[in-house]
Amino acid sequence: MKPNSQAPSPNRRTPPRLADRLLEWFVAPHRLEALQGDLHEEFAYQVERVGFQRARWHYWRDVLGFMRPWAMKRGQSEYPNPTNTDMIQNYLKIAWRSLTRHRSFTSLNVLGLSVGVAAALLLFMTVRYELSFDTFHTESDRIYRVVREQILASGDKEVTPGNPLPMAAALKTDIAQFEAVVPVFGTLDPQVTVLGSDPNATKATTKFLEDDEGMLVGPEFFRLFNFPWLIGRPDALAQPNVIALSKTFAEKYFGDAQQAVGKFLRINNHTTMRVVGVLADAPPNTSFPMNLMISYATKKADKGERYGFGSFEDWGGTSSNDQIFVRLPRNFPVAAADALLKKFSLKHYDKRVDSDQKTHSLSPLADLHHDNRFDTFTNKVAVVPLQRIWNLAVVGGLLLLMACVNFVNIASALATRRAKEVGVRKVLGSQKSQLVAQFLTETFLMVLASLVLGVALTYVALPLLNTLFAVPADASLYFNADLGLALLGLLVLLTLLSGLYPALVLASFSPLDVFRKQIARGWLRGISVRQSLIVFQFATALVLIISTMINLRQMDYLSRMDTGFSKEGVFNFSLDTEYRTRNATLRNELLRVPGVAAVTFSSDMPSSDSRWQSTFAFKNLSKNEDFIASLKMADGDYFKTYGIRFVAGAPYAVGDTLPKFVVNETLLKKLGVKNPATVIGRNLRLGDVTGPIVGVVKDFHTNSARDGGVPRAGGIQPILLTPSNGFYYAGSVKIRSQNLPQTVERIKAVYARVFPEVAFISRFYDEALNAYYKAEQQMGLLYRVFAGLTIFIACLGLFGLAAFTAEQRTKEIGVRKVLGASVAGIITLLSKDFLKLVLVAILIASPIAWYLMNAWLQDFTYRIDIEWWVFALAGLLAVSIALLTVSFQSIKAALMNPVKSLRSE
Amino acid sequence: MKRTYLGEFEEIVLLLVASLDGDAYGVGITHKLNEETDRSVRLNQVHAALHRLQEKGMVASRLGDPTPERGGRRKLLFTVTAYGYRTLQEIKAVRAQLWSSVPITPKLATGL
Repeated sequence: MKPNSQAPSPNRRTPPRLADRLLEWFVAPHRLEALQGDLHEEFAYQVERVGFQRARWHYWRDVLGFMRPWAMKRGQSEYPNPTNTDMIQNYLKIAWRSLTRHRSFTSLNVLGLSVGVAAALLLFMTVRYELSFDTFHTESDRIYRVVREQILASGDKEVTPGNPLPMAAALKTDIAQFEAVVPVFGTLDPQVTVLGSDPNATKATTKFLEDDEGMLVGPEFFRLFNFPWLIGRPDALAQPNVIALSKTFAEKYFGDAQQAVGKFLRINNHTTMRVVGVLADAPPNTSFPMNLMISYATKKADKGERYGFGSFEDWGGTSSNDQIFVRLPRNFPVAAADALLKKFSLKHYDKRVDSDQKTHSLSPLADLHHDNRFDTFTNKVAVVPLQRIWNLAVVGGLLLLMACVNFVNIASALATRRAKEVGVRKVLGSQKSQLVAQFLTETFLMVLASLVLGVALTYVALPLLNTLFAVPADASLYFNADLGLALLGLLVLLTLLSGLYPALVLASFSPLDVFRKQIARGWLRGISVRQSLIVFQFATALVLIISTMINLRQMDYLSRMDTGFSKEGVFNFSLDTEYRTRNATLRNELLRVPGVAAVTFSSDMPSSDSRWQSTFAFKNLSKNEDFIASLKMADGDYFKTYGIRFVAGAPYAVGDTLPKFVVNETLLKKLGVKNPATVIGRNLRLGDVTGPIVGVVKDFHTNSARDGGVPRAGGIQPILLTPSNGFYYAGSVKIRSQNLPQTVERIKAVYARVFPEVAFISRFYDEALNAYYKAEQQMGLLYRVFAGLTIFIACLGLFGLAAFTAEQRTKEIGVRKVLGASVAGIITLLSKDFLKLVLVAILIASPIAWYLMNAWLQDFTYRIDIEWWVFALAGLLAVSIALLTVSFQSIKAALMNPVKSLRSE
Repeated sequence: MKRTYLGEFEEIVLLLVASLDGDAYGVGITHKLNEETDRSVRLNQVHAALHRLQEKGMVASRLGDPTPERGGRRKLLFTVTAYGYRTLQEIKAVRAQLWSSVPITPKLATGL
């Protein structure tokens, strides 16, 4: 019976190919020919009998029928494998048995290692992230920022990332070697009013205050840096008064990125801008705030200094807002470029402005994120010094090392139990290298398990990364192919690090000694190594604990420090200088709010990061003094609002607009004036303004306590305070009220009434100050978490060793108890050895911790003394933790019934 | 009675190998078995049985000649070993002995 009347063509008669393939794959090669032959013959027969299609079904069924072990098992080859694979199988089997036999020790090891691995992975991820900043630009290693060093007449050095405005053009003509010269202004911190399609809209109410946003760049910026445009082209930024938005901001302003192009925004209530493009959102690892990109031509066309001060002809002033980026040609040495810049600096500065020596040089693009001597464009991305990044890497490495140490300790302690196995293997002809391979296999298995567990832990703990280091917790950023490679490397490294020593110890046992039960020789050496490893672990943990305690104390000190001014209940808000004519109205209205004790307008708060600095003349009004003073522009109520005390003279009047000065004690000290009262009434010249000194204030803290080690921050700065209406960017209100929220609400209402054009942004002084210490607090948290982890890992190791010793000495303890030893006596006996080690660790750790923390404290202007009791407390902590760990085992051993331990002979 | 246990199916396959006298191979045995016993046995079952018999040392195998319908592949031909032949004879003898004690008209179970 055939399905078709036509005879099937010969090649249609072949059995199904897929089934054949399957057969060829699973059947053992030596059976394949006969079986396949039989199947094909049967197929030919079935085609005749039931037809092609059903024969195909039969064939499939038959092929699947052969999926049996006997048909699949490969035959012995004519040339069998060398015994290696068999031995490896044996190693694995023995490894598995010995790991399961010492279950508790195995789990101690795996636990310690996986916690170590997880912590180290988290740290290394952070390190990688921090090092990845702005590396995604094409050949980012050829991009540099032009910075300037200035040697002042006093000999002090000052560095700034700012450049005079005419410099970009001059660089283009003078230094042909630079492939690109890109001037950038940032950031504007503008208030943005969304106008929509009508550029003249006056009733627009949608306002945003964009902190740390607003860069001014030209089209060439996008040829240097890879920030892709979604809509529009960078060339559009060649004309003035146009703006490009990031996708997020376009959606925030206009609801949809497609809608944004062609619409209008008003910047700071003075310039209307047309949106010409939308940029893709920048990755998180860039130091450029890429949300509001205003054309650089706007700055050139602007006559009102609304986009930074200075003119394009003036070489005198600089602002750190005006930065320049250049690209060097391939393989162009930086030293050569610096030499060119030096010549350039001589040409443009020599004798032209003042006697200060100014020299430009290049700073790598990567240092935008790492060099905290220079200002960046945004405070939202903290500058992370390389030193701190390497510290993280070191802590990560230490954690791993400590976990390995645990392993080495426990494995070499357990070695005695396997002495017999080693002896037998050696007698039967094992080479030393084979034994080492065997024990490394065991370590390998354990490390593998720990890595798997560690990666799982890392994944779970990823959100922690965000809180600890302000690093994005996006798993896809870290879990990629590179991580796989790194883990493979880690697997090999950890296996060798933790397995090699125990393996060598084991493999070196002499069979003769083993069978005569004299394995002590290898042992003794093992003991000293083990002891020094425990000392190492505890010393590391102690260094971290001491550092943590000192760190916490320093932070505590800073938060309680007397700053010389009062910040309680001071409420700050921003002012727009465009509308300064209405400041007086605002003051009067605010003073009428119940609970408001004082109102002041100023350039900034008493201690803040923004600095206005200038030279001035005092002793001889025609010659500048040889140091720079910090300026604060403030009205007369500044002192009352902040509770700043006068040592001589009195504040100028609130409404006073004539040049008058208030100075601080440090300034007088620098001038060499002993008696503050003598300067009152004497004239002082600041730039081209001359006026009398009316008061001397007691020193107050002028900047955040830590200034990143910048030389200019040495202690409290000399300060000049003067009224100047045009520079009041901040309003401060001293509130003396039981009902703070209500008062704040009223202040807001008053502000909205006086300045309907301006968005209200405000915070209490304490909050503003805390931002400065955020970096330090993060570091404190980091120390605490990882100090805890190291002590945990060290204790795991100690616990393991204590358990082992107690077990080893069961019989001894039994005999001692029979002879009348007390439980306390036995606990002391067992704990003594370990305590000795911890004491040694304290002795080693203390000077190291002292040295490290002393160096860290040098960065602070106001710092605590390192006191001896910190070390004592840390030592006590370590001793008690160690005692607690050990005593669990020793008490167990001491309480054991001697009958049990002695009977088992 | 100390001899290797032989299953019923194995016994039949072994008998067929013996009766085919040197020309026994997978497909041949399967077809003959299906014809003679009115079963529907599949190729892989026969091969499995042959494999077991060879493990027990009752058959030996060698490679034969290729044929076109096999795609030029050689047959695996099976022959009974002396041990296999003796086992068959023993089984037959045991059966014969048992038959001899069976009455000519045995009482058969009825109903229920």
